[in-house]
Amino acid sequence: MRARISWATLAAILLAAVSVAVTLHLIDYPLGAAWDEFVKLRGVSTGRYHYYHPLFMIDLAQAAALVVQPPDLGSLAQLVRIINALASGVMVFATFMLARLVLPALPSLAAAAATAATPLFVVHARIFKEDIFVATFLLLALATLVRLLQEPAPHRAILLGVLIGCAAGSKYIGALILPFCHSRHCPRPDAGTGAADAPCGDRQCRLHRHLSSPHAAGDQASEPLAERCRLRTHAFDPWP
Amino acid sequence: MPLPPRATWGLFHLRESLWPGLGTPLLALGLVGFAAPFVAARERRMPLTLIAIFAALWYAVHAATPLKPFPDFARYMLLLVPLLLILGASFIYELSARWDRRGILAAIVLVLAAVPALVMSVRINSPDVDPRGVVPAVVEASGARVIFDRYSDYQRSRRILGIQLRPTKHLADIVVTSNLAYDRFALDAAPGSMAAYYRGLSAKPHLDVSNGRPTMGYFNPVVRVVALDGSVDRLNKIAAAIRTAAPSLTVRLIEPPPQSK
Repeated sequence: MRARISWATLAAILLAAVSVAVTLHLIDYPLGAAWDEFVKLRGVSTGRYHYYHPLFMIDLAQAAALVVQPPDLGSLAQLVRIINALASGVMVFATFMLARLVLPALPSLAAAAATAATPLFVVHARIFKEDIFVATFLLLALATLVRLLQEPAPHRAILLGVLIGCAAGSKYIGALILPFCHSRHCPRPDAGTGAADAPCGDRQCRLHRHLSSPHAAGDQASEPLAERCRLRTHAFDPWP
Repeated sequence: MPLPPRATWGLFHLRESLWPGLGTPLLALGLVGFAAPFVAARERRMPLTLIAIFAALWYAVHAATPLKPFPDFARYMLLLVPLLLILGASFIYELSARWDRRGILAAIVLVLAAVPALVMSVRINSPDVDPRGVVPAVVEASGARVIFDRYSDYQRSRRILGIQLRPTKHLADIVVTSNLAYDRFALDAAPGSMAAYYRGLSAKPHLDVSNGRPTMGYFNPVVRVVALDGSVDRLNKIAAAIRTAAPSLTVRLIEPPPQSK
């Protein structure tokens, strides 16, 4: 069965694409506007990088440079700024994905659009720095962590590990999310097996979870089921 | 320059990064959004709590570290932009839970609150004449002995004045600096500090050259041309040359009042 992509997801992709297009229009500024741009470009072009950050962004740029073969430093600067702009597009979409876990489609889109409109975002989408990468990976990691806590699955745990690795590989501060993965709210190995504090595996409760998802957030019919599931799902609820 | 939390009461990034970076309505909405987990429906409390705690931890860690690397310290708050907006939208959404069209309401409020941010983004990021691209050439052509601060032009060899070099009128006639350099020391009040050095520069006659757009990150700096020898005539000639080279730039001559004895 083919997976359907919702209109909101398509709209979020379109929004991210528009954000990237606008950013690409704004990256033609002089080389060295940010002083450490030279340092990073030297790291990309020579492989010698003795700066303060880990290497994900530099490695990514090196891979792109290997394919594109920019002829001079100016072209290399354009290339890495394009990579940064693309990462900013992913960040817009990641905002939508995280918002979608707590909001319906329209406000989620609004959150992504508002993010893309802020000066803080637009300015840093233009600059070749690690921050857009670590922010993007952390947004995706948070979304994955929430999904993992809601519905534990090995592939989500693996994805979370990869995303945290990429976040910390972009900037050490990305590891700040790690304590959340060791909290008492982490899924237990026996989750879903019917233990008292395990997530509710009852069919009706799964139905309730479906109904109470943001897709059906306004559905009043799910309220009685919500009450029935309340005690069973307390293991995922951070409140006492 | 290290800025310990006690020097800013932990509010540095709130005031200097998030406020200009989000605008007042979005920042207010985002801060109120920290209450979203308390008003949320049970099934959404966990994710909202996770987002709120992580956002607070992210801010606390960056507020606690004394390193605020100017000029683009605001980049550390980039992650908080989506998190605050999601929390803000969720707060409205959850608060209006009894309304049928609460999602639409949350979206409308968020989009309206984002309008000032969008306007500011356009103001900051629209292509315009770059003072860093114009002023250095004009000053060098004046024939004066010039020393450039970092971020006053695009040469990679520039160092931040005040750290390795504190030029006097015996060494140079003019110092060119920019707010990307001197703004970082505004909070440092110690005598003999970098702030004192830059205050000393500002106490001499100088030109402030700007394209009129707000400074953010590395864009739209105000380039300052300081006459170390106090020559206002030379500054007037440089100002005229800048106006000729780039009529859209705003050039202000600032002459400090004479010191009373």
